[in-house]
Amino acid sequence: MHDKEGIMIIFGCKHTATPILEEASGREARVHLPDFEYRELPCLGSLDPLMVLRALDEGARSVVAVGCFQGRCRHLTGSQRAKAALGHVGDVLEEVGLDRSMIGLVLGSPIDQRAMIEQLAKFATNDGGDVE
Amino acid sequence: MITGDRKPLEEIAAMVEGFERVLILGCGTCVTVCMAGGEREAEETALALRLRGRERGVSREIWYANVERQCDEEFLQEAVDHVARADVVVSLACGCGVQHMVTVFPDLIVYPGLNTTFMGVTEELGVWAERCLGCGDCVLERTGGVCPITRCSKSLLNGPCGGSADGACEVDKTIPCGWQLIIDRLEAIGQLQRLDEVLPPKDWSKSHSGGPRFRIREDVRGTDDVEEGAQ
Ligand code: SF4
Ligand code: SF4
Repeated sequence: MHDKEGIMIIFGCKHTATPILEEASGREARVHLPDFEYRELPCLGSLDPLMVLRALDEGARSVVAVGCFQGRCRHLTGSQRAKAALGHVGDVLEEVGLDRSMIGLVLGSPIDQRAMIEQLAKFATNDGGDVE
Repeated sequence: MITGDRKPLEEIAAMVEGFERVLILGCGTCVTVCMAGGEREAEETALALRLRGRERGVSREIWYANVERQCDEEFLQEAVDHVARADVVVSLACGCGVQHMVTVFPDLIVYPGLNTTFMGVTEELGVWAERCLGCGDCVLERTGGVCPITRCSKSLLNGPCGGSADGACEVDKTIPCGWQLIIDRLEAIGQLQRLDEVLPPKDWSKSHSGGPRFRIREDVRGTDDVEEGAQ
């Protein structure tokens, strides 16, 4: 099943990413970003490595998680957990000779939507995130 | 529980090279708990191998399934439809599971996806530690419930070696000296006098050194013919 061939799949925290990527301003995001599909999470802490691998298996060219920066997460450790989950996926990708820059993490604040979209656009053009 | 480490994905990929239909089979008990070979790891392995194949332009069917315990035939039978479809199975169970698979399905090619490591416990979230070597003659009642065979790197039976320092093992300073643990524990439960008892040389014939071992319960194994009348 490769029906997401070539698109970017974004997993986002409903507090930070949904207002930017799905609601009214989502239209603006689509102007600045390549074709993407948005998948909402209650918190980035619920990002499971399998979700990311499944998204790549669906054909996504890249997967990025978008949420609140550390210290602002309503569930305290969501962004750290997401970073650990993406780190694990990156290790798995490297093990099979794939580039871990297919996945990324963008953290910010919903009150600075422009900065978030800029970071996402940067990720999309570089096809690379900051996941160690 | 029995623990293991998933083999490197490239090693697994090399094993299944040339097979068209590859089943990754997880085991739902020990290796699920140590997060090495359960359903999640089976799916992860299948996804990773599929992504690898796609990157290299290799098209083959790779899927995953899971059974409760691969070391029990009744559970293995639940995988029979998956097994029938597969050219090769990569088992993510411990070595017991892999060997039982080939016994139950004698025509099947089964390769190990894990390196089985030890019998142990969950020490903390994400950390598992070795606790028992299955020596066949347990002495834990003499050593405060701390195993000298497993926790002492040299399996010493009557106190620490000369290299024990500051509670650490000389083999690896990051691990505690097993005999320090035993002494601390005996002291804590008021049984330090047990150190006066000399443990005799171990009869290793009761361990794997005496050959593969069996456990048999005749009363459960089968039923004898029973004649009419008082027995
Ligand atoms: S096959 Fe191995 S890992 Fe699975 S339940 Fe049996 S002993 Fe545990
Ligand atoms: S003494 Fe033997 S049976 Fe007991 S815990 Fe140690 S290795 Fe296992």
